[in-house]
Amino acid sequence: MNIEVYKNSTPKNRVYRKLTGHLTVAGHLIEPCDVLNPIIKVAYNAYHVNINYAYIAAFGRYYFIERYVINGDTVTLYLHVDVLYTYRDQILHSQCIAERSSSHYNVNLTDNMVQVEDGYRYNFSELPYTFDPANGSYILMVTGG
Amino acid sequence: MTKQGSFIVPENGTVNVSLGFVPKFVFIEFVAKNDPDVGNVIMRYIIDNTGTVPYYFPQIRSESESRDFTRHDINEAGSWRYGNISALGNYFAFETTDPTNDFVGKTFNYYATNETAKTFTSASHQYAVVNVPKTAKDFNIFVNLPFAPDNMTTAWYVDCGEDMPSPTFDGEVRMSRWSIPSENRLYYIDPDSSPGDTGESGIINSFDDYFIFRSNAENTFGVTCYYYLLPRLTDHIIEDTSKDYWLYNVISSSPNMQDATHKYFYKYKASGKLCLYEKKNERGYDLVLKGTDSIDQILYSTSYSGDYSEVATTETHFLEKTQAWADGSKYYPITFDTNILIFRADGSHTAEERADMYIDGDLDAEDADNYDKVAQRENLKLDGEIGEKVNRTNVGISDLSFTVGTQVFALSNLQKGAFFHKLFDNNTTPIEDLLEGTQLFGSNEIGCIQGLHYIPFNASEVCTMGSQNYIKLGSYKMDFDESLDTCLKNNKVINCGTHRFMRTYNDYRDFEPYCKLYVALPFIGVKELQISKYLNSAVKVEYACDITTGAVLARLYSNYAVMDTFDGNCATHLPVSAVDHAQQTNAVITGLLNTAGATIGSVGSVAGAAGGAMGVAQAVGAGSISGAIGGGASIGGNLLTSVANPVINGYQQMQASMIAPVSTRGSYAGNLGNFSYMNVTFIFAWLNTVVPANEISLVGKPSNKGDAVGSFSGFLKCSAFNLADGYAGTQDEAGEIYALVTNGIYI
Repeated sequence: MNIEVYKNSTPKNRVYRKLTGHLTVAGHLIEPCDVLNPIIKVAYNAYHVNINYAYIAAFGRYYFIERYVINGDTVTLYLHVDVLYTYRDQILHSQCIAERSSSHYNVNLTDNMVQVEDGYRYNFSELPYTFDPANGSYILMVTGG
Repeated sequence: MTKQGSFIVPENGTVNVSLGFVPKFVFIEFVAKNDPDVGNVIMRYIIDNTGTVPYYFPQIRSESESRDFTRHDINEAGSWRYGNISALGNYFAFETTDPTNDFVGKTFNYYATNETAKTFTSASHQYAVVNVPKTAKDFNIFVNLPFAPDNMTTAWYVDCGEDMPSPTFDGEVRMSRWSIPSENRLYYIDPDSSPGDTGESGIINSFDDYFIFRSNAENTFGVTCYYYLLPRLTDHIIEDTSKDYWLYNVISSSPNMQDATHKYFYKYKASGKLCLYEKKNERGYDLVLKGTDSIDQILYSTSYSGDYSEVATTETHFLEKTQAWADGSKYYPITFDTNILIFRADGSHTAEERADMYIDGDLDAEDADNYDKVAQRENLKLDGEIGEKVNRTNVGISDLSFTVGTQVFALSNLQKGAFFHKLFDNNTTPIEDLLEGTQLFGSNEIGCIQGLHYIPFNASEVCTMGSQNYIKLGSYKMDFDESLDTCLKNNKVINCGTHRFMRTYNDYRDFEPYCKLYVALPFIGVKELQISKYLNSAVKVEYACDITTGAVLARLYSNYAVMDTFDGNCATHLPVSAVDHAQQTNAVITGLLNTAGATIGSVGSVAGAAGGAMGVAQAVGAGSISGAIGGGASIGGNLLTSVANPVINGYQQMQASMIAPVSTRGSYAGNLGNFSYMNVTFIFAWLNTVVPANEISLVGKPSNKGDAVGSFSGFLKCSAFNLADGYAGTQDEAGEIYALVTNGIYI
């Protein structure tokens, strides 16, 4: 079977991939095959150590190449499905509630990423009226009439 | 020449208002209605340079303050806390020195003239009436009566034209005053400007095309008087009734943000109604904006939290639902959110007709398709009946009167001494007469003295006062040589002032537990307040005092609503008898014990009478919080190795470990309150927080917004996630997707 191999320069937790160095190689599955974690043996090529990503059209999935094992003139590629890129359209259409977001956030929600130092800062604000005990009144109450 | 303009009141400085000529007369006016900083207020200045010496006369009338035109020399230091006229030449200098001046930043209007005045001749010796022509546009009138350089009399009629609240501003919107500088007096005349006033009650009345001048001076007959007519400086203030709308719409050629083709983030301020109506097209419908004629301001940005700039026009067609056209064009509404009401067609009318009906007032907002959502957002709709909404709360005023039978006197220290001196002097108060007059009180002949206490302000601030020159003890009449102040009604409150607190961070740290707000109330103590009640509003404090006991009630307003009340006592009771003293001592001790009991358990307790400031200082050391709040689960799990142990339980731990930084306590006993705060003092205490500079791009900020994943960009960590229809993967893969989005992904 043919597999498309690439060099992926984006981390796993990104939805989109930056793929370069596209190459189509022929290989065969090591059976029994787990579609989510296939193992494929291809002819050795020095270029193979530069690839880390693959697409298998027969499975309709993109894969991370997690391990290479070189054995003589063959290379065994251990793959794991990239669910984010494979199902990106469904994921992007999916409804969610964002706990944290770079684009849509609410600054009035408590942010537990913010740490607190010791101590307080104070601000004193006085209203203008001043009680003046030096200029008060003696209140005398009497009964009479 | 004349010049009319405005200037902004400077903060602790002077503004020189250039005129280009030396004015004979300058009139300055500031009128505010429901202003968030100063509330309702009329402030005026008159600069009179018609005589040999220039003077200025400031005046203020507000809900809490009243001062009539009082004469001051130019550059008389500290003569008026809201601003002095510090220099006069071919300009006038307006100087402020008080940093608590609420008028800093306000725009004052002025009119100045150096023109030759028009004249008229008084027609009678006294109380003469002269009809002087003017136009309907001349609202302010200034008259100069040049009897002699040292006896210059000036008079003015001013009219700001504002519809101010009654009765506070009755007679203040338009008023007539006159002064005789040589006497340094101001005559209060014609408060209502009603036609037909006679005698001393009138000097200028203004009508559409003439004004009437009356003089109550004896020598005005045949005197040539000068006058200036001025326009109105303050137009009628129309309260801002415009409404804020917003509409966010991001349209993409695919279901994700990266392919966004239109990013509309609009904010509108409109004096009329805005709405959207559904307009059908081949593949669905657009929402069309209606009522754009009433838009006063359009702010536009390409992102929700971006910088909005004012633009002249707005897009009018928006996308709420996906449209896929036959030519292959696809339009996905990645974001659609608005507080503008949406109208759709019903059986009788098209959507546009219904939108027109709404704008014309023939259709209620409740008939809009999204009314519930908008109303909930705008806090217009509350579940259940909670009563009529009000903007201000009503408070009472005591109507308690002290007249014959029980009388209350407000004495000076000397008068108090004179009273007791007379009481115990057999020459001035024959004991037989006193005993006979007080026999109703049995063997306790001074039992008619119901109480004597000292309050730390003049009784006239909380009472309507009268006067008399005797005191009745029972039926015995003790005469005095001087008049004594009597309290007739305990019906006034002390306005301690108004302040406005703005947010500091504009985020959650402006509120508890990251920030705490306390108020130190004289004679009451230090109390903690809930910050959200007082931020971004005019905070006013009033004191009511029961003159008979010294009990005080502090009312804390936020705008016009009473949010909190606290009580205490400001009186120092002076024992008249041994029984009184024993009872009072017992009360003081009990009060102290109660206070001490209330303080135990709080950190940084207040010791003694010095009160809150000491408590604050002590509490700084004690009221600390551990800076190192323990870590928890990481965002992004193992995939996001750059995130270093963020906090998950920080908030809860902090709540548990926070200790009040300012002590609170109950009322003061005895005269201890006299040793504490004398001004109402607000104390904000903020925790020092450390915010990572790259937080937003790295791990975002708390959101809790619900939408499609594709409407977000950058970092996204979901608390809830539901895969869209059409997913064809395995359950294991779905589980992995769920784990990824709940740990955090980058879009």
